[in-house]
Amino acid sequence: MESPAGAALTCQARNYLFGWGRGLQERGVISYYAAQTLPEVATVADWASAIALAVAADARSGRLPRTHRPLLQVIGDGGRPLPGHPAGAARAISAAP
Amino acid sequence: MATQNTLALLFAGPWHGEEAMHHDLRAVHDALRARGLRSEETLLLAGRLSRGVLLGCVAAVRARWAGWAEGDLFLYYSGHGGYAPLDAADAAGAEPALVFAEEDLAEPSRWLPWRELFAALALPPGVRLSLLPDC
Repeated sequence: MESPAGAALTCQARNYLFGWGRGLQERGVISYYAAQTLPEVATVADWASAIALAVAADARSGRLPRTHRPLLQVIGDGGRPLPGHPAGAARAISAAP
Repeated sequence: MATQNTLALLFAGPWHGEEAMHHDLRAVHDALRARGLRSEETLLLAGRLSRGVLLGCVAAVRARWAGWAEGDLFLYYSGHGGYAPLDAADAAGAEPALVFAEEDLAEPSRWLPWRELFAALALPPGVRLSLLPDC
């Protein structure tokens, strides 16, 4: 990143209004997609991929302006498991005989 | 598989009047609960943060992981960020930081370098840190 001389570098993440009608709610774009995808993924890399897919889908459908698309990068071990377990896996375990 | 020792630290540092960070914190918390984390495995701090408040919080809770031989600490921050200090003479003198207020940025309580936050965590060698910054 490079900013004009004398200008401070500030936030790179952006907020956006998600939802509709009375449910319209301002959210951080990264957090919105991160929270939406977190329950079902296993690893950090899976999470980044799921976020990218959700962002791309909403951008294609016009729900998210292209100017607000976050480009996330995994730094470190993408294969690291996330805390807890995917919600789908929990359901599968609880349904097992 | 996830290790047994797990803790999520969720921070929201809105500036005056901002609501988005509160919504974000709640959503990430709900997502972690959906993954099976228990209430005692998630710690939340939201509001008008400062350097002292955040470091004080970390100091108050780091005993939770200090004795772990291995484990996972998940750190989430929804707020503002930038490079600090603002009066750095050149780029090499500034570093990425959490920024807690839009005014009086020359005041050191208004920001905290990520480097100092990581140092304050004092993670044991076997404890892995996962960080999601939204700032």
